[in-house]
Amino acid sequence: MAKVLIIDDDKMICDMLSRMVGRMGHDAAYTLTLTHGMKEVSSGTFDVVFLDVCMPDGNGLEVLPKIREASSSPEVIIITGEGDPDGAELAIKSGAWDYVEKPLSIHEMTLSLVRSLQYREEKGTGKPRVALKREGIVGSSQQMRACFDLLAQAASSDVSVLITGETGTGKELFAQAIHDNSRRADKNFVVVDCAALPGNLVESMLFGHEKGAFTGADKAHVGLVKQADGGTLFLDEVGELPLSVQKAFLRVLQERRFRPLGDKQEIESDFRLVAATNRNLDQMVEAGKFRDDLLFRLRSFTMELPHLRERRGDIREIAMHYMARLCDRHATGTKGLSPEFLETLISYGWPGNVRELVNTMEKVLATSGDDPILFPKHLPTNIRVKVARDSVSKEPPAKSIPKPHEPVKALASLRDFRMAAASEAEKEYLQNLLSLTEDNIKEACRISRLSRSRLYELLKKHKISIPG
Amino acid sequence: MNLIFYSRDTEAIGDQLQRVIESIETQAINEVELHRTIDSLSRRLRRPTYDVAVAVLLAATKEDLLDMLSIRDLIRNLRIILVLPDTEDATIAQGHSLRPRFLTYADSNFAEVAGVLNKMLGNTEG
Repeated sequence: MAKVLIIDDDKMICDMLSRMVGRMGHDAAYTLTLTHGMKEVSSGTFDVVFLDVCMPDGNGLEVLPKIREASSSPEVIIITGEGDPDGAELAIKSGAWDYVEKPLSIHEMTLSLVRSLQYREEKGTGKPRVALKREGIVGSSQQMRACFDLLAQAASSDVSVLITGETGTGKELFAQAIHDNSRRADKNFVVVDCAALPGNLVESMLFGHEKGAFTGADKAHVGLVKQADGGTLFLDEVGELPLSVQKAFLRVLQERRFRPLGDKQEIESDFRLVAATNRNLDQMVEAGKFRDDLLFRLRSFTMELPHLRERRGDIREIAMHYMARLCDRHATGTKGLSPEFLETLISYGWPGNVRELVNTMEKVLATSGDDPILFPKHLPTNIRVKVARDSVSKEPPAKSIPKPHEPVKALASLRDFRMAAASEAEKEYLQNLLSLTEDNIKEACRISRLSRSRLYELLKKHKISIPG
Repeated sequence: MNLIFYSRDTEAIGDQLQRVIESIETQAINEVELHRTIDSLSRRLRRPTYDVAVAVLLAATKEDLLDMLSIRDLIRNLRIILVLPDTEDATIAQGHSLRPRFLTYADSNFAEVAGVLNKMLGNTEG
């Protein structure tokens, strides 16, 4: 018997779902607010949570990661009255099992619940988990745990994998980890840097060639696809693969057979493909720069690696891990990281992701000399300046915002001034809106033309509470 | 950014590869750092490498390759172009364990190394 929690401010929905869950032979409980729901989740052992997005005391999507982090790691089925593609994407990326729009169909809800419980059961009865080899991949955030789950799934099969993510998120490390944890680990992991190969070399490098196949081919050459036989072929920056080669590679992917340039015989290669890109391949398909049939094949299994700014909770662990490693490598004494140093790292946006963080730690180590403890002053100036500017623009002191008609002694930058003024105006508008509608959210949404979730988000941002 | 070139071989192959590297015309590289011994390379890699755009490593013999494997943990942090001494399966497997971005052989004319270096140095952000 499974335990199911329903978090929805509509009592009729709660009753309807409770009856449905009961008829299926499971236990149901419900709460009408997010606050109570979170208390239930943290104290209970729920298998599945039905979660409404627009709640009177917050947005369900914002607490979804916390629910997934609960000790029972419940599956979450999002139910919403105002479905939108962005919300659906956010929900799935945050680990939701399903995203269902109201009005709810009993059939659809039953199916979703059955499937989530099936998955949970299989997960529970599966082979005992073994420690994953994941050299250089650091983090224990919910986002990274979800990635490790995918990594384990990918490693246990031979399916083609597409890893996406911004530059510096660790795509190659994940590709290597998939290989290291797979049955192919004792064979070659062959890296093909598609961005580094000149167009005229790609085909011969991938497929190999016979002697005399083209001008300059004075010796036969075994291609990388064959070198990956029994192992893993990693196509890094796959978006850079020339269109002409994409067609040939698609066939290799389908048949695992190909003919080296100038050869009359086809040869086989039992390779497993992992590809990675920071490009938007869908846009490239639309622009005619990437084949949709190849993309379809690559997408058999996808992993999207999170930006570092999406998992700031991991920054401390990454910084400490790499600082210890770098100190060891550079044979310097161990250096301590002050709380202020870590705070600055956590506040920075890291556009270059983990790679930028690691490079920064290395720079800091190089410039800190014999200092045993690192402080923010040891960080590169550009990082400290960015953090300082962001802290000013995020929290403008109310009295320091210069009114347009008031003389000012020290002008802020135009950008900061504009942001502060816009924020003030937005807050004033929301206060007037609620006053005018007497806190009627539906009416406020109609007048403002905001969705409920967006309105709640803005109210939360400006710390405006609604009575009741 | 700098380019690291490791070559214990001072004979024809090493010289030929060095000429290829030095013929690359790019503003992306400030300096080519030449290392003739594995100890020298190892010491260099124990210093910060955030300013290293790419490393070209020539294993003219199997012993050279074994030397490189002995400092694999230092080398794997770099973008490397690796030149292997032969095309035996075991040699190629050892080469791939260093995760090179491009792999070629000592008996080639290195024209493709020039092409790859040119492309890489125009794409140093990776």
